[in-house]
Amino acid sequence: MSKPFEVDRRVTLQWMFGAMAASGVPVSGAYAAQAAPAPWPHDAPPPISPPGYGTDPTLMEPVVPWPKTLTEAQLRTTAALCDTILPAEGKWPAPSAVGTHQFIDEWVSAPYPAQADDRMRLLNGFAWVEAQAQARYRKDFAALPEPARIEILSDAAKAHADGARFLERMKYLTTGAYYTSEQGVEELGYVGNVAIDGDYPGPTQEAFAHLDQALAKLNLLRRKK
Amino acid sequence: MADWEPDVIVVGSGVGGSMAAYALGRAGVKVAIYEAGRHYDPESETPMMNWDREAPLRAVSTPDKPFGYYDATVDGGWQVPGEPYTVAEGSNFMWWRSRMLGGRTNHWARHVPRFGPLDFKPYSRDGRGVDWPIGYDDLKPWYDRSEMLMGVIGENIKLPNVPWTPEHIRQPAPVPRVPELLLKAACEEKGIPCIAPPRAVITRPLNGRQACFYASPCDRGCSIGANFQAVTVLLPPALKTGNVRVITDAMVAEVLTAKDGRANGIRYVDRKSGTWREARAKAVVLAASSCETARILLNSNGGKGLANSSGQVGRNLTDTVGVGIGAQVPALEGRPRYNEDGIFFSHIYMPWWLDDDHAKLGFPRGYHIEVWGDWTKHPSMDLGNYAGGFPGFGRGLRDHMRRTFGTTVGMAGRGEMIPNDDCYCDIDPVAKDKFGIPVLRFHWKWGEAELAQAEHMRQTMVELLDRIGGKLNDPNDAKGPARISAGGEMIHELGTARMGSSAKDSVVNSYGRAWDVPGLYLMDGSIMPSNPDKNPTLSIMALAWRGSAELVRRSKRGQL
Repeated sequence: MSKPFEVDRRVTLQWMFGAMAASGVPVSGAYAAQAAPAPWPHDAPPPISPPGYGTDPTLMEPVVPWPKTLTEAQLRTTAALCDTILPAEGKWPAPSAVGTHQFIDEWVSAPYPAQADDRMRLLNGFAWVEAQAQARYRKDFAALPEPARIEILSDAAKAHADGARFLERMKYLTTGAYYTSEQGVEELGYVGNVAIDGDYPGPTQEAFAHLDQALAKLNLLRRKK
Repeated sequence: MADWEPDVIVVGSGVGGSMAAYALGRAGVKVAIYEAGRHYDPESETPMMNWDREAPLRAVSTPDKPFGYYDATVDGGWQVPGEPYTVAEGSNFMWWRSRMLGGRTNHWARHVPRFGPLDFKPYSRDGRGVDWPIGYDDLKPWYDRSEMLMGVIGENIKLPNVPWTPEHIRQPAPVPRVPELLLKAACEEKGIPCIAPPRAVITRPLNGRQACFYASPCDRGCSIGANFQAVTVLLPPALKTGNVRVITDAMVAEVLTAKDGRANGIRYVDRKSGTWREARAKAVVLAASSCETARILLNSNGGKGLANSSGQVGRNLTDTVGVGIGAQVPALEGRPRYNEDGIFFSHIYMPWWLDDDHAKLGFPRGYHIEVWGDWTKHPSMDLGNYAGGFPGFGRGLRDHMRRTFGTTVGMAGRGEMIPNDDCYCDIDPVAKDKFGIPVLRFHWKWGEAELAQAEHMRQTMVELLDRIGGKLNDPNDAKGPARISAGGEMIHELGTARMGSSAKDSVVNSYGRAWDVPGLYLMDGSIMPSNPDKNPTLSIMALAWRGSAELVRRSKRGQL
């Protein structure tokens, strides 16, 4: 079912690339900065109607029953967008290293209304940034150095209300997926979800010290029993 | 089984039905429970320590699982497949159901305050609603034993309408966490009481159940029985008596009566085969949930209705008034981490503190405030929303995410609603469910009292959040009007077959015994004539226990 959309997108890219080449304008970042923003596509993605997990799924060993639908090319774009939004830092890996792009594939391929809205929004966004990457640099978005990726994604958000919404949803999905991953949870410093023997210990001395500083700044008092 | 005849049929296995089975079974009465949903085994089905990343879509809410993938609701939520309800034009009502053993005791907030002395006499107090035919002292012994069986933590406080639970009954509550201590300091400055809430979570072993180990969200259920679910607390000892049997996947459509008018059975459909069956007994207990019980009564007697000479079946439908506000609190940024899972639910709450000020306040009834935050559970997809607070993307976003995690403080106002003529359910003249059973149609309109109360909730919560420097998640909350919940959204539907002191204006007496129909007892929220701000589960349990004791007494006298 994803074939017709793929064809349309390629046709669009070829048309855009062809048109730019024919007009003889330099295809570069400098050019893009002066030009009017390219129109934001509003193509309806090919309909999908996979099964949901139903109202009584197995909770102990969850499975995702619907097939993923992004193409290899779209997955590369997604991964590059994730890594542009939340770049690797020191020991903390890039989002794509923990599979956020695969999660986004699961998300946009799901049969539920909220995810279907994102499917429309994200697929058009992927098409727009790819078209821009081709138009400006004749490269895939994923092959661009970080400054060029930042430039294109920033332009998406600046030039179109739909682009701003696209960036907002990509930020939500990237950070949500990353910070629920094993590495993301560790980065946040979350230390729960382990069984405790005996009474709940409560805050540490360091946590109390921080709280008391915060209270003092707010001119509030902690009554110590 | 063929030669086993129950004395009593109980419809529904939630808190009321399971309590009835427990009490009756232990008294030597043979009980058959008919449950519309499937069998459910919390020991093997509860995903105690699963991370959100192990579930589809990181466990977020979907139409299939509206409270998230891991929520302990089977075949239900705001819609049950093939079993619709309708809502009258201009009304806004939501009906949460599940189709599983234990019913809605598997999924709930386990906040179990007792109703207070004022709650039983609302009409005497301010001329609105109706008084209960009993007072707090009548129910107190049943509250005591219900709490002991349920297992409840909490802290006592001297307030006129918040009963004091004997100290030997309560289990020790866990200490508050940092965000709770911050909010507590603001409450204390403003003179708002802030104490450990009564929660049906145990911190000491009880009747073979393990104490909470302070991990795993309670809304998934609990495989070690550390919180209250009918399937872990009431049904195992009930079944152990040898007097109780459970028939699942049995959707009850109506109560059957003998020629002399006594209730003597039920008609139900086997959900799996679609086969219609009848079952007979000497008495019938309806505990199908307030609205489902009303539906069964209205659909009985060839659709002419049963136990309804008062015309009150389906009327007086109430729910809790709900307003929720969340904020991001910069004072909590960058704080040292420690294990904040606790009992998952908040370790503090604010009971209603202005009982004497209603004339001044401009609304007649009180509310309490519950507390929530992003720090009681492992990180969820909700964190993705925090990225919206960071301008742009790229460098700096990680620092923003680390800094803001654990800084959300939210409050939920939960207030009393006064029954009114606009809020009721009746049988939809057209719509039927997949079994052919006529469905409920809901009518709903909040009264002025509720709207005024909701506005006060909003102002109080905004003031408290403002005092701790919180930035409101929805800036509109700063000015109001309060965004009041939809009818039914708080999942505290009560009152559709209220108790009273006469057959003229009520459906049952204080024991849940139908005025019109010998042998028919109601033991769920339907019998409650008012809906105080106190969450109803403990009161349903106490009333069902008291009603079951009466049923046993009458059975011995041959006067079911």
